Amino acid sequence: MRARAAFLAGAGSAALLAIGWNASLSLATTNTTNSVPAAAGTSGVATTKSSSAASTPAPSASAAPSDSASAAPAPAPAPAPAPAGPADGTYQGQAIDYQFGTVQVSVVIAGGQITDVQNNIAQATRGRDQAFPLLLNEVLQAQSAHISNLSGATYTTRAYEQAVQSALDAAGFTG
Amino acid sequence: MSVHTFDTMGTVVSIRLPDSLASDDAQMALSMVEREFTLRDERFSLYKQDSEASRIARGELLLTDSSDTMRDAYAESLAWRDATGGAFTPHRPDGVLDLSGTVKADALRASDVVLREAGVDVFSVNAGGDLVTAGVPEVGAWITGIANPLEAGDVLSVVSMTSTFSCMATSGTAERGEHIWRRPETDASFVQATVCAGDIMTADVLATAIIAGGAETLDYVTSRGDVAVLVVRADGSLLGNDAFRNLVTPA
Repeated sequence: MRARAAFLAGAGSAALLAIGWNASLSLATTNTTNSVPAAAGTSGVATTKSSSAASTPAPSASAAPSDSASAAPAPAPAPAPAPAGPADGTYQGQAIDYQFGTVQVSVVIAGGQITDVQNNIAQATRGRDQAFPLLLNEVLQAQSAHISNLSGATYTTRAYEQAVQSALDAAGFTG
Repeated sequence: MSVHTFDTMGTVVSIRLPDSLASDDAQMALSMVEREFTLRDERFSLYKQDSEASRIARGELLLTDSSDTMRDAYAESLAWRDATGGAFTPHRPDGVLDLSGTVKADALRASDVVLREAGVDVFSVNAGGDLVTAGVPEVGAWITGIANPLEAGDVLSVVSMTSTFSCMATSGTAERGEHIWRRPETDASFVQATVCAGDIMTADVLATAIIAGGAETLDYVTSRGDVAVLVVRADGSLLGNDAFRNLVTPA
């Protein structure tokens, strides 16, 4: 990635940029195909991983879970009327090494639905600092009482009157 | 903490200073900051017919004959263009030189310098949503909200600025003015990018570059290792790096 970034920084041609863009796309695709089956169940990981790489279309492996239900010894208390879906609980996926570090996620299932996806290890462990999906509750642990500034795409003088910053300024940041 | 605001560059600047500052000192600090913005507004604004930038845009003044200040600003913008692989550029598609992408950050950077030189060590200056901060206010940190681009008036995230990440800038497709030009091939799903860095120029330019250059530029920006990044996609999903997650204010 370092080589590509440096390369891109120097290159101005659209053709060269397009190559870089494709490269980053294929990297992303590889990551998702690896991580999705890993997140799908606790014990079925090894088999799903190889089969999905081969031919199985199953794009919604994480949500359509009939196989993992039979294989996984549910880590949660027995669900009441649950039909054929997966048992409630938190399912931890395999730690996946990739170019820039390690990714491991857990999926929380309740009532047959995925209610949360947690990043267990998401930092780049090899000197890289990559962007990855964040969940809203990871960025919004609001202490709104103490907010003094608001960052956003530039507001005009007129829009400021309707903007949150205007209210913060009027309140005078009593902290 | 006292709050002062003034209009400039088509937006509003909010300055926060500690109450402990003597009122004469505070007054002087405010006029110094205002002056930094006014000087740049008069020189670089394309909406002012008699500004140096407007004279260049009309072809009345050659760039080679322009002021050192103008050429320095142009040179800095070109350096950023090269550093971002062209995602950030001071040239509009119609060929007009538009330095408004860096002039606000330049004024914030100058404000930061004059305030420190005047001995003010706790302050924040917010120009239309881009801000520099210094020191530690009474509540323990400069706590900054990030606007939700998909819902007006909504705060998407709340972070605590640190001495490493003392500056923050946010760019978006809803941004005033036309200084973000997407390449046709850029993934248009990024609607807002926030970058925290140790200096406001880096934060501002990289936030703009991410919107203009999409995923590829985001990869470059995070690989620098010295910035915290939060990107909002059109579907409301978020992308960020560890540095950003570490800034999120604990509940």
